[in-house]
Amino acid sequence: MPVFVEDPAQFSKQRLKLELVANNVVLPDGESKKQVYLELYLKHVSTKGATDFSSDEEDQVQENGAEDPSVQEEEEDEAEEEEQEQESDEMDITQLTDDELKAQLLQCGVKAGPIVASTRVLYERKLRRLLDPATQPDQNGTDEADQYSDSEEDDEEEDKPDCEFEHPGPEPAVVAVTGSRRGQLGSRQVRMRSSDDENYYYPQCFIPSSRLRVKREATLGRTPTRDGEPHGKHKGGSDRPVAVSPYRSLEGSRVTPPFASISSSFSITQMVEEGSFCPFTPSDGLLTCDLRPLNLLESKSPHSSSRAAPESRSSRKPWDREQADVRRMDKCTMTSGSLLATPTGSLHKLQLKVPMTTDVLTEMFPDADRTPTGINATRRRPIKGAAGRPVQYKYPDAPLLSPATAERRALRQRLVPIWAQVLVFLGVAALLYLIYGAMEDSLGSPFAALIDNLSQGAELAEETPPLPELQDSAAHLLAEEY
Amino acid sequence: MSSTSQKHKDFVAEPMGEKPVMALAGIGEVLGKRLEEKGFDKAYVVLGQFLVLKKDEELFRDWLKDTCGANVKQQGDCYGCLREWCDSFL
Repeated sequence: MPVFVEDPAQFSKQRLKLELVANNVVLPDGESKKQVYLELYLKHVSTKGATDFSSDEEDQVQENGAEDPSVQEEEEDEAEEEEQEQESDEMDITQLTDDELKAQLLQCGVKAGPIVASTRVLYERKLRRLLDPATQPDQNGTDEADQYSDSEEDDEEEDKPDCEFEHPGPEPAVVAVTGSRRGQLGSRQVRMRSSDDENYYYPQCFIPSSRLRVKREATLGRTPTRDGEPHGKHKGGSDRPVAVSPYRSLEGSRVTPPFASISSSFSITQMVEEGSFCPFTPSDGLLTCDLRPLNLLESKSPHSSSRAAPESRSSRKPWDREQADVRRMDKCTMTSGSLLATPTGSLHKLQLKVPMTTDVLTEMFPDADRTPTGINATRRRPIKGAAGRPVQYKYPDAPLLSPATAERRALRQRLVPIWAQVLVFLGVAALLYLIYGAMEDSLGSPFAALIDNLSQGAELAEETPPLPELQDSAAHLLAEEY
Repeated sequence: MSSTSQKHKDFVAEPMGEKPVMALAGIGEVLGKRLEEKGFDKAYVVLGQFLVLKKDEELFRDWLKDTCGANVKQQGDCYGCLREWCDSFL
């Protein structure tokens, strides 16, 4: 704000008072709002008048008294008269005592803190906003910013000067949002939101049925209600409130009187009603969970429509539909059985799905409260050792290990079992012996050769002396012969 | 708040003591001047206002805007800084 110093609207109350006193203006008796002083100041002191209002002042003016929020362009022209309006409008609030103001705030459901000089203005403003939220434009969009941003604004917000104008656009929505924050419209808001969720949910859920629908439209010209039904679901808008109530009643996993709250336009119930009469056992229904090829369905349906009576078709058709639905539930809703979007009162379906899913989920997450949509948006939990985990959660008392493994573990408590020690000792001893034996053999052979040589040499040396004796004897013999 | 400023971290890290009002996150030189002009010269005075408003974000933002003309980001910074300080030191 470039002209901050010159801007009287930015003056503090004290400074305004001082200025007024300095300019010999009679102050209003008692403590009154800054606006009063400011107007006095503007009237008596400032020569510039209303053309130099700051943006803050404009915001306040708008918030307090403007009847038409779309007049920001002519703000400067209308500033003065708006201030007049504001003056008359806020008089009743500004003249409340602190206690009265607090009581008023309490009536509006706001627990006020201490109302002192520095906080009174804020509480007055809050009370005014609470009293007539519809006529008052929201100040500056800050409430929405509080609501939706995590208090970190965009850069453009930062770059903007302090003056931020109010958008005159979606006023009722803003009012509803702020109201819900104060707990006034909370329940309605929640309901709207949940119905929105369901609106969001239906297209997801019924997309696969489009193939069925096409086929059915082609073959079944005669049953307009059933044909029109998937369209209605896809559009989702018109019969959405109708869809809410049976869905809600199903949500507690109790079977309601099936078609009590369902209007006649909701033709899927009719279909389901017919379907509940068809010969159909839960075990069969379980079989439908595996994916039958769709051409099988298609091949079947023309038969039934072409030659069969309406009863047979009614028994066949919802059967197909239910197969499709059960399969779909398996795919897109991993959470709970309350997501059976078709408001079926048919018992077998509930028997099929609900016990299975709710059991595990409620046991695994006992403290997760159930939402009307059945979709729990919880933080994803880290799964460590995912295989054994759910069993552990489900049966915390169950022995974790089989007796054999427990025994093994107890054995493992000793560092090395005795038989293993003995075995290892024997093994090592045998190994050493083998090594010794091998060494002995391998050592023995060269030594044996050497020893043999030596012994041969010794034998030769021993044998040589007898040779002369032999020669001697031989010579003797020869000499005797000669 | 995806990331907090250095100023925020500095303020939240220790007792505020006698820090000037400009040590608050979101309160720069200009806003600090305005606050000082209105008597809020120390950070603890602003803290007092913050506390007397019962830590209500909406009211505090309103007050800050009225008092010194802080924009939304500045309001948020200051509020977050004081709230966090209170969480750790009060």
